[in-house]
Amino acid sequence: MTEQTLTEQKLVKKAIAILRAPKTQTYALGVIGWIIVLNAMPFDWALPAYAEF
Amino acid sequence: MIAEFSFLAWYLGLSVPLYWALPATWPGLRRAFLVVVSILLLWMLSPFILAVVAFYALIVLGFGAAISAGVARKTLKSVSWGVFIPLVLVEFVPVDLLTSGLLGPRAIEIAGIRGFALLGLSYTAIRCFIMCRETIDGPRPTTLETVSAFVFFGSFVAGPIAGAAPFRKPANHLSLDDALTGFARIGWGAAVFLVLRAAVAQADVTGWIGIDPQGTAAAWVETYRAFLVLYLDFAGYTEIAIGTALLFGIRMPENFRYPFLARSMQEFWQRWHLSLGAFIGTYLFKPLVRSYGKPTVAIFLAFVIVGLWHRFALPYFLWGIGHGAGLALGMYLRKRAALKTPAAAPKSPAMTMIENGAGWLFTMSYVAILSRFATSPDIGTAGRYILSLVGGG
Repeated sequence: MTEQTLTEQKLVKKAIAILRAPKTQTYALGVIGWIIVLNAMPFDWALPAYAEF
Repeated sequence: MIAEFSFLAWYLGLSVPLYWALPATWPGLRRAFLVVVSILLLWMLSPFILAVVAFYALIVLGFGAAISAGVARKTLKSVSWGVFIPLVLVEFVPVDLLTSGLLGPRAIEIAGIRGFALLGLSYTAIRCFIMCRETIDGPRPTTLETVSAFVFFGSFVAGPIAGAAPFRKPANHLSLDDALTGFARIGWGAAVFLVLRAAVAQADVTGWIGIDPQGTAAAWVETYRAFLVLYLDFAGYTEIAIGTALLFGIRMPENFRYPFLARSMQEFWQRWHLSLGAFIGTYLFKPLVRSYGKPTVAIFLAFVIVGLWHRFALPYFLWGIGHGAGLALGMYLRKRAALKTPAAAPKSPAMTMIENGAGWLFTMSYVAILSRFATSPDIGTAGRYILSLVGGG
């Protein structure tokens, strides 16, 4: 195997390890979650809506 | 709900940078700040709840004073169970008292402040108990740790259950990993709690979806749906609580570990509400085993007590009996099977699969029925619900 192939294999292994790590899953769920939440939020979700308080 | 979340997001967005901007040289300063912002939020919710929390905090401090005065630890341990007595009275608290805060009238529209506040008080009582025991057995929490554990707004309503331990040594600086994890868990938790849950519950916010009069099959579908709603509600809230705590450098215990994979009642409680499971193991099951000698009796009694802790009402008493009986029976059957079957006898893969599948279906159905039964508005409705499952509704 050439040195380049070995490096590529190492990179692929590293990428798979990162993707399988619990942290990556937490972050991925977080991104999906924030997209869902922000999508569901009305446009006037900023502080002025709470002026009554 | 979404609008209320935006309020929390603003509150968090302002308080987290301020918290970390405070100098770390005086460790109490940040914790004092967290106490102030938490108390402010509780006060906005309901000054009455804040007064109850203050009362419970004084009990813990009183235990500290009693230890210093030389009162016997054994006596104090017995007395510590008394902190659950006021929970009997909360059923009679007028709703006006719970909604007297600035956010109260708004909160009642969004989640039913009564249930929200009562749940918070149940958790306050259990926190008080744990901290009383920490005071007795050590390490004794300081006043600031005690107050932080009581009022921290992230976990006030529904845990995870912990004493002062997570507040003992908060991180000195916010690591990138904690910040990202906290932010991610709040995002996922909010999506589960606010959006997915609402989608499954079809806009119902109480968790009680009402009895469907259209037959037995519909009643069963509603049972599973209500249980899924409960999980999304509880697990989503817990994610937000753990994420919020992380942003302040506080590590709360985990509460769920894929509960829908449980194949037995025992496994269910090793996956569902883990912090309550830890409490039951430490403060109820082990002492009861020591008292009665029989683990089956101990687990049954422990769950009857936990049922009443959830709410001092007949449906929850029966919920406790149901869970306790299920666990005790499982324990008894496992012991009997272990005595009868030779250890080396292997099972065929097909048999194992059938057993696991049947165990999973039974466990999910049993806990879902008990949960829906317990959250019934009254015992009459709970009874009609059970009848509806067998075609008599």
